[in-house]
Amino acid sequence: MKSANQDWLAPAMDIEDKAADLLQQQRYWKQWSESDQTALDQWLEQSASHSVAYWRLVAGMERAERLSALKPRKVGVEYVLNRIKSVLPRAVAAIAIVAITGAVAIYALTFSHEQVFHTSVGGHEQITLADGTRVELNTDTVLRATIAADYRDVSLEHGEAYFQIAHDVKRPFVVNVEGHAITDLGTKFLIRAGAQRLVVQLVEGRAKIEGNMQQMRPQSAILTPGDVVVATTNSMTVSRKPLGQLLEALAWRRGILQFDNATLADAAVEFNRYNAQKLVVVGADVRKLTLTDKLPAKNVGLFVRSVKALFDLHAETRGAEIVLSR
Amino acid sequence: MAETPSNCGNVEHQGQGPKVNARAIAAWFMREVLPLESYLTQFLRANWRNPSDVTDLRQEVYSRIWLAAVRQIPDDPKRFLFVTARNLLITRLRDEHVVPIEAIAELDAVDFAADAPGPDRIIIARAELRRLQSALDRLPPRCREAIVLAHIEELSGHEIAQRMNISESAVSAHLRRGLRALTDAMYSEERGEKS
Repeated sequence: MKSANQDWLAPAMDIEDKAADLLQQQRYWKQWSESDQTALDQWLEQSASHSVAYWRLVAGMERAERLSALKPRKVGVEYVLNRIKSVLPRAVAAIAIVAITGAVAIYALTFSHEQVFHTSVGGHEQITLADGTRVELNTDTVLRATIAADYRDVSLEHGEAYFQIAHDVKRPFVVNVEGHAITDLGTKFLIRAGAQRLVVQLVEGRAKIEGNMQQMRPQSAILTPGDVVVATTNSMTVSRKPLGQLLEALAWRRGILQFDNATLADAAVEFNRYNAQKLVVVGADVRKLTLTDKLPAKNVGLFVRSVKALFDLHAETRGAEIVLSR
Repeated sequence: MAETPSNCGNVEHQGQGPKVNARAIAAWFMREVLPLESYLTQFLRANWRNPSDVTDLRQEVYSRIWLAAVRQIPDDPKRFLFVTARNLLITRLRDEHVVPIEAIAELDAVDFAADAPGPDRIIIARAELRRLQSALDRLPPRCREAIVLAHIEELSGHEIAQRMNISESAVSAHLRRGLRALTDAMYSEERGEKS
């Protein structure tokens, strides 16, 4: 019976070094033979500490490779680029690279190229990013996207967006919102960044959300379809919704607002996102009235007429505002 | 996880009870245990006065876990890892006759386990990439060159030796060092910046 305690006698560093030596012989040199493999197997069997040291290095190497920073591609160019990037600020790096050769310059442009998309109040845009990912931007939204050769990074500055991610294991798609990060694992999801509140709803696939990175212990969760995350600066809750209700949240894609037992106050907030003419609901009891309805997002008039009739309210237009009261 | 420990290659060995195949343990170890390394390292650092022992302690914890997994793959790797670490620290302290055992019997390994992320965590690629980049940048230039030639240009050891005009044993030494540094960057240093 092998004892783990025995291994204590051989310092971990020595074992690790031996494991690294065997691994580099196995992976980088062409003359690795069957007898070498047998010798490796025997060494691994000798002690658990040999096994863990070896497999740890295998895993580390594979994980580093998966990041594709070490993947074979444009030979040398990336290396030059990385070197420069590590020394100089990004803007300077771009200029420096242009100065090297034309070919490198083109590569640099495709390497890190940020695009900014925005919609105005009431706007609705469908965009396709360079990697084939489709994003629908709802009203009043700003999105910055960098689709690089080895990573994909998007920031939702504010507003709401529906993502249909083109899956690419080698380039995880990361959406950053108010310090939170959502990493796609082949996904369709909806993100809405509101006042200090972020809502992520997952429609298809899997995604991972990680809380504010500045916290000592970032919270994180893996999302599956139907999951709804509500994150604020210091909390994150995950709940589940039937898929039907999730699709309701996506009704804006058809220009529709769908309310299911929503309060009048909440409904007004929704309409105000899409329209320059703002609704103001006055009176605590009026604000608490609830409704279930489906309405065109940009037809405030229709909404006002329906609630007026439904709840017997007054509506008064004051400049850019419509005030609803008893 | 779709795979369960019980179906990944158990082999019956007469007289010793069930024994788990080494490949299956390796796969389990890489998938479930290694992603917790930064937390384990942090735990060991927090509870052991000599930081230079941490690598040895970590190795010993892993060895114990491996030996346990040979008999049966633990159900709750996170808890198992931290309880093993705590027990190891207690044993070591007792051996050294330094601290009364009660002083550390309270080591909060279980709480630690609760804070560590689950096995199916996915690292945010950008942060990981940055860590890898900085690990590469910290390597001595010749060592980095060897690693880059091996991975980006996919050169063999012999070709690297020719290209860099150094001996094959020097190439081996560079690759050995590079592999270790990259692995540390991928696992140990994950949360190292703040400690």
